[in-house]
Amino acid sequence: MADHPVAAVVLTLLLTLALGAQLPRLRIDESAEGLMVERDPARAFYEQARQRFGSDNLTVVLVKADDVFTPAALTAVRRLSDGLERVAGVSRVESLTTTRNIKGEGDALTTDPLVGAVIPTAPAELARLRADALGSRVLVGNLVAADGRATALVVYADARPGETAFNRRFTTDVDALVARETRPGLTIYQVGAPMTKATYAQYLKADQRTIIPLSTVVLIVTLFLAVRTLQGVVIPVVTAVVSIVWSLGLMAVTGIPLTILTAIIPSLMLAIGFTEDVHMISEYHHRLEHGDDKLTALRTMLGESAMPILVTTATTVLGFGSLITTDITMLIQFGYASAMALTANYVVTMLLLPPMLRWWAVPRRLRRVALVDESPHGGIPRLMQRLGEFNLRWRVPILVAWGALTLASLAGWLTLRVNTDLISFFPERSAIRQRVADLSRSLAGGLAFYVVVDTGHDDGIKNPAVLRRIAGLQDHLAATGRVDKTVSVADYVRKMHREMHGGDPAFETIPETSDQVAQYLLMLEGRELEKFVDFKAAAANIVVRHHLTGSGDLSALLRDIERHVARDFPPTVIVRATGEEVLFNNASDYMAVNELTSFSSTFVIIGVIHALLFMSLKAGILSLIPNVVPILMLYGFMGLVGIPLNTSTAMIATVAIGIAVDDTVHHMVTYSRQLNELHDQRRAMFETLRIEGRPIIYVSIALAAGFLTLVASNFVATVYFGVLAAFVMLVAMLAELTLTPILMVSIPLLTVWDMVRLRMSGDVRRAPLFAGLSRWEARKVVLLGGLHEYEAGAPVIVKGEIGTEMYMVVTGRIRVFDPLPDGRERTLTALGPGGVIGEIGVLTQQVRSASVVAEARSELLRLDLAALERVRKWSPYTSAKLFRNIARMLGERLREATQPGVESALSPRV
Amino acid sequence: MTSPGAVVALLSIVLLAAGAIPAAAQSGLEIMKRQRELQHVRDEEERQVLRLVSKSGATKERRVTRWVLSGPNDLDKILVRFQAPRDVENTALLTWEAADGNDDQWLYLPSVKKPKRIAASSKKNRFMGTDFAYEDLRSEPLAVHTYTLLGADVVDGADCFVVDAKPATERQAADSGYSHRKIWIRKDHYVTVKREFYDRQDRLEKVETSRKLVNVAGTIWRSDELEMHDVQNGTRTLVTIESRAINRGLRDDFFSEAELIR
Repeated sequence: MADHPVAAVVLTLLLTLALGAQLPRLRIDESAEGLMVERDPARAFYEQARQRFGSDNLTVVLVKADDVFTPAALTAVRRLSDGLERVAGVSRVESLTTTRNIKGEGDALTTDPLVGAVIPTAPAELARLRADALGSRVLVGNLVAADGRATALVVYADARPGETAFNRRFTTDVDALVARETRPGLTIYQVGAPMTKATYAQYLKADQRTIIPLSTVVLIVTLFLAVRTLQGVVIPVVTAVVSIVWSLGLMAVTGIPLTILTAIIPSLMLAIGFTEDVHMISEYHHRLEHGDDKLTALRTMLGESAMPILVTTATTVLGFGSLITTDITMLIQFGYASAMALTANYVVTMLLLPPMLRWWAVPRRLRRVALVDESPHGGIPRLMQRLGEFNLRWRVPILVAWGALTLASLAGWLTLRVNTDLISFFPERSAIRQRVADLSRSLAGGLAFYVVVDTGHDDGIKNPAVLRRIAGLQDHLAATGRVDKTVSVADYVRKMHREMHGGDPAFETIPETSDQVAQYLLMLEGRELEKFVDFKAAAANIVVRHHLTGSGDLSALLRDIERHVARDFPPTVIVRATGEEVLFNNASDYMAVNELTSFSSTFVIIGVIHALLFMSLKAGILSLIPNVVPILMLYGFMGLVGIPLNTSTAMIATVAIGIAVDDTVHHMVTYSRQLNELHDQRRAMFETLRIEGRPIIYVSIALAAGFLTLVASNFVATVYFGVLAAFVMLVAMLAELTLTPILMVSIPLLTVWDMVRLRMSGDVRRAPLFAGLSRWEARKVVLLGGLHEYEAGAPVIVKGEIGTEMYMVVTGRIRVFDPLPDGRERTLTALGPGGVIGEIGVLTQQVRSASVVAEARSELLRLDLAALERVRKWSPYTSAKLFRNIARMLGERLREATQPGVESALSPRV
Repeated sequence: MTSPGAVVALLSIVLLAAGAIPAAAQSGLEIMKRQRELQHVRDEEERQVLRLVSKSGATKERRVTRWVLSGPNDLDKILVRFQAPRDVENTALLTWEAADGNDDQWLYLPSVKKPKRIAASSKKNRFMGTDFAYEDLRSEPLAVHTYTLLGADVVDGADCFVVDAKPATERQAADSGYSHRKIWIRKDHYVTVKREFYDRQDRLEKVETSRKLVNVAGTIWRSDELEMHDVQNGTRTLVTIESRAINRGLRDDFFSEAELIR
């Protein structure tokens, strides 16, 4: 990309235009269907229940007055009922003016509408109306409050086929009707699923308008602080914006809608998409500071960062992409969309960043050839130096502290609750929260689900025993205090029985015979009862109204129902709670747990990738520790503080791991390179901290700041998500700076990249030192020992010095000679690839008995005790073979020494 | 707005203007009166099978016998008794239509034994789970409606008048569940073959079609098959007449509370 800048930019431009053109096709999904479990058998049951008993998509229009049994209030109810029935998509309106008043007095029976065609005005008639309504078990707590101060219109409505903006349209229609009837003394408002979803969609859009600009500002500020050059700000912002266009365009093309989850993708791109840019630009500036010219710096930077950035992108994509293995549509969509977005971000960065750097003049600050960072000066390098010392000095206490914190947080896990409360996602000041609370105080909750009682055979519901059990279940539900109101066919039958006996309360019971039930049902049959008994009277439906917004509470209620049913109903009768809410509820708890399990599998996969990258299981595991600790602490903290695990908070783990692991990868790769160069773990650690400290600190702070912008969201859940994700980012940063270095010092690191790049001739592989070692083992030994380059004529060993290393020729040629006092040299031998020299010095310090010089440009493997120790730590197995080979070579020497005159097969003693 | 009705009306105006219908224009009310004249019986007995069809196509069957005794001023006495299913056998409903609209009704449930007098029942209520409202089942009350001839139409190959019926009195407007109805009456026999019912919001609610016309006696025609389709709710009620008898001289006391308990 550095070499074909025009092609890369043109390609990017074309793709951006093509994907940008798709943006109008991006749709907003305001239904919460995506929150359900895919292929959930409960969903089929729900669909069947909807077929039998109609929609459960309920809206309550509440009319509040000092007394609703007044001509004014009743007129409003009548006009609202008529108006609501006319609203497109409405399948059913229940209100005081649509309900029948079944009432028996002596031998007379009334089955008329409760409110006649003409709204009564006479006080006596109004009083009778009030008495009838408040005396009806079906109406009280359902359509009218027991104190007569509130009445509800229950409206069932669904989108017409093909209608996309149903919720908004319906809510607006209802609001228009409400506005027409609202007058002094009458408070009217609607609450229900359509309004909730419409508000949700509206907030979602508002969020996009506030959070994206905010994240952009935060990004620019943090970038400027981190890189301090104009290009360091402009390039990441450009790639982020182009990536957002690509991501949203790809979502439009693949038909993935904007939901509460996918809506955070643009801010996610702004928050995490820049990290690669920062690492690359930092590296580029680092090279420039070292005196490289622009093009060399650019090429070296690309060469150096290609592998770590590919790995970090892969692990991040994997982290987010793991969500597609869940069963929740919305999570799957988010998994695909975020994986696409992150991949797009990678491609855009790779396409745009090199040309932009190439065309951009080198920032003035970096133009002078600076060797500044040779000495630890300035804020961060000095801080890092101190940090390195601190880490080494307090190594054990630091490990103990992290361990103790992690263990303490595990205690919090015990109290971690799973609870998704969609209503609580809205802020407390929102109309929804206030209305939901007010409605459940004034009447029955605005939430409802069905309990379907299926006897499995026609007329099964007419069996008095079944009806009695239904009534028993209702009584049980009322006794729990968690339910506002239940209505079932048993209520209608009891009511009818009483009214057929002159209104005698003693008859408010289920009749004795099924014939009697059948005859009552024949009387009642019609639209009103449709909701409660199916066509063939095989199944009944209990409508349960409640105000339990939290999944935890609702789950407890549903389990309670299951227990009661298991105890009270014969196994031949299937009794199951269903409804959109029940499905969401099951899904949301399932989802939270699902996210955590998908997270753990991601975690394992990332561990495996790292193990492969560093060719060491131990390295793979160690790389995860600094990342798992913050997440363990997050959920522990949530448990202690009482923040529940829900669909939103559960996702932090996945998001955080995908991001935080990147730092670890950069950290470990740099460390392994430093180790190769310096061959000293402590020095490598200091050097790594010095190089990576700044990007780690800035990137983490920038990420935390980016997540904190979510605090501006209208959704409480998103606010929590932002704060907690920021918390994780900061804890991960601390772990990265203190835990990773300590853990790293204990293990040698190699990257698979270095292994592949290493060239070894056949002579080296067949060398006696490597006898019995596989090619990979040999490479490992070479890399762990450390390759040293010598120009032609450069001295390797000087006679008379004390040596502790042995050497093996990897490339080139060396000459062993005895420097004579007269200045001449007596050449003892010359060694090519595979030749070993100085092996005795490794084990016992030895005064060198000859000198060695490179004859041509050579690469020598230098092994000392520390290097052998690194090999041993890496693989005791390889180490054993290596020691065996060294021992064999020493044995050879011994034989030489004891049998002088025998020419060494190996080399002269040095 | 182009409802089918409007198209029909428009078409018939065009046809009338072209002189395609030579007959001297009869008014809506005259057509209705002529129908009454030709189809009137003193009493009538029908054994019916009611097949209720749900939205999803499931069906259930009921059998009833229905007796009607014509009285003065379009006021009938109607007795309906269930034969099947077994659990509602003998359930019966007796209606005495009253001039002021406050019909007297008695309901007999065998399991309750004592008949109940149903006070001031609303005619808008559906009859026992069917798609028929009580007002759909009574004879056309000519006095409380205004009838407008909308034009002509062809139903199953037969020429029909299309008459619009609107409640004419405030009381009727309040009592009725319909803003208006359209009635198709065959020009040859003056028998109703189709009715459309428009709800109070003027949306089409139900369509009733009559098939299998039979000449019962003289000018008297009846249909042996009737379908009421609730287009809003998606349900249907199919009525098949198994047997019928007219003018058998049913006595007035057959339509009594005492007879109900039988």
